[in-house]
Amino acid sequence: MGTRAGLAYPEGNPAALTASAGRLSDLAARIERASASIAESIRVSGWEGHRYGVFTTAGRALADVLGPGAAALRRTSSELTELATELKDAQRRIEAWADEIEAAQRRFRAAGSALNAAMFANPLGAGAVTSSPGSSGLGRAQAAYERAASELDELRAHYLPKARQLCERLRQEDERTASTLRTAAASAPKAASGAPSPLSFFDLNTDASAGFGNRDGTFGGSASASIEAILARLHKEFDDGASTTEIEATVGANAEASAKAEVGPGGLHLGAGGQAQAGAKAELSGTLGDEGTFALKPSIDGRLGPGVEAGASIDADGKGLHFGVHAGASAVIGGGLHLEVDVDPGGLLDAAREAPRTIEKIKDILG
Amino acid sequence: MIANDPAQTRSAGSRLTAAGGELLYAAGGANPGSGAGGDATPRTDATLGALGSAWTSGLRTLGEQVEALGRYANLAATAYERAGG
Repeated sequence: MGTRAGLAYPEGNPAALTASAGRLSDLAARIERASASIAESIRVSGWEGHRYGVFTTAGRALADVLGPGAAALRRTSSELTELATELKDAQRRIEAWADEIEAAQRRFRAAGSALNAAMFANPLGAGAVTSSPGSSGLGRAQAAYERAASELDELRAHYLPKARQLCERLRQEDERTASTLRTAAASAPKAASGAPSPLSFFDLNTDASAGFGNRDGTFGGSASASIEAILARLHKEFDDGASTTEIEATVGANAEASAKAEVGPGGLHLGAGGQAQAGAKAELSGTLGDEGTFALKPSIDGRLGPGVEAGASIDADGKGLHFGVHAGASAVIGGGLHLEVDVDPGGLLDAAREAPRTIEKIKDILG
Repeated sequence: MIANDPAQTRSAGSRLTAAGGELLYAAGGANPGSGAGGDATPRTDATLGALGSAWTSGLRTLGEQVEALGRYANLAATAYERAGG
């Protein structure tokens, strides 16, 4: 809290508040437009199925988060505007009162100077002032001085409490606005639940198993893990008049790893294997895919002592899908295989484009 | 049943990507206290910063999610367009 001419004066810049209110109002408008656009965009006629369900659910969740947030910003903008108006009005009124007081102070100082000058000019006139006020210059100066002092006292007595009241009202308004701001800050959007990541576009299947066994005197462990991400499943029927052929094909990527270690009368046997592929794969076929679609990074390790482990994981980022599968088994001495696969979804889409041709090839193979 | 109209789906994806971009742009200007030219009022001024920080972070997250949803729709359109051709 500042002071002007001895009066309490509210701190703050109304223009800054107005500017902040304007920015919040603009922000709310942008958010409302985005929210409306999302709500409109998720209504896609002609798209049905599970992925459309994921899409619309996520879109609704996003729009639902944004709507109340924009409303909170609108309220905050409105409160800031009110506070700016009150602050500006209070500052204007107190400045006017301060101007009155400062003018009275100037008159008081001028009257004091005039009185000093009169007393200097008539050092023996003090008694005359007492006996005949107003009958001499000194008497008039004395009276003017007393009036100026009285006027200044009256103005101060009148405006000091009024200024304090205005400042107190503004302090309360400031507190209310700050409270609204805190509420709006708390209603800032968090991540919407259910928003799909690139992963959710794929049908994912993972499997991992590991265990020990003892059969016919052979003791061993085995482990396997696999992961499959299917982008699209295709189905085609061919009818040549004499027979009908149905072919199922998938577009996606998969990886699997397995390891086995056995020790028995025949000695120690170790084995590990794995594969990964990406592209379009049709039943009874090989694969048709672009080598650039995925990168395979295998690694092996040696193990000592019994143990088995297997697992599969998948992650996605802006660069694509990343698979990891590992399997390891050891009876006494064993080994493990770890496959890391990076898949480019764009390559998968290209493979998807080729998939119908793959099916035609299968049809040719089938005769 | 699984069906898709690639053109409409791609249009939805484009609109969502644009809406996500709009939110990310809004996140960049979500600080209501910056550049106002001076202090507001003491208590309000202190909370304007917190408000801006919370909304900047939240809008950035949501903007990325909306853009991701747009890419999801575009991916769907491309997949069905190519696979169904």
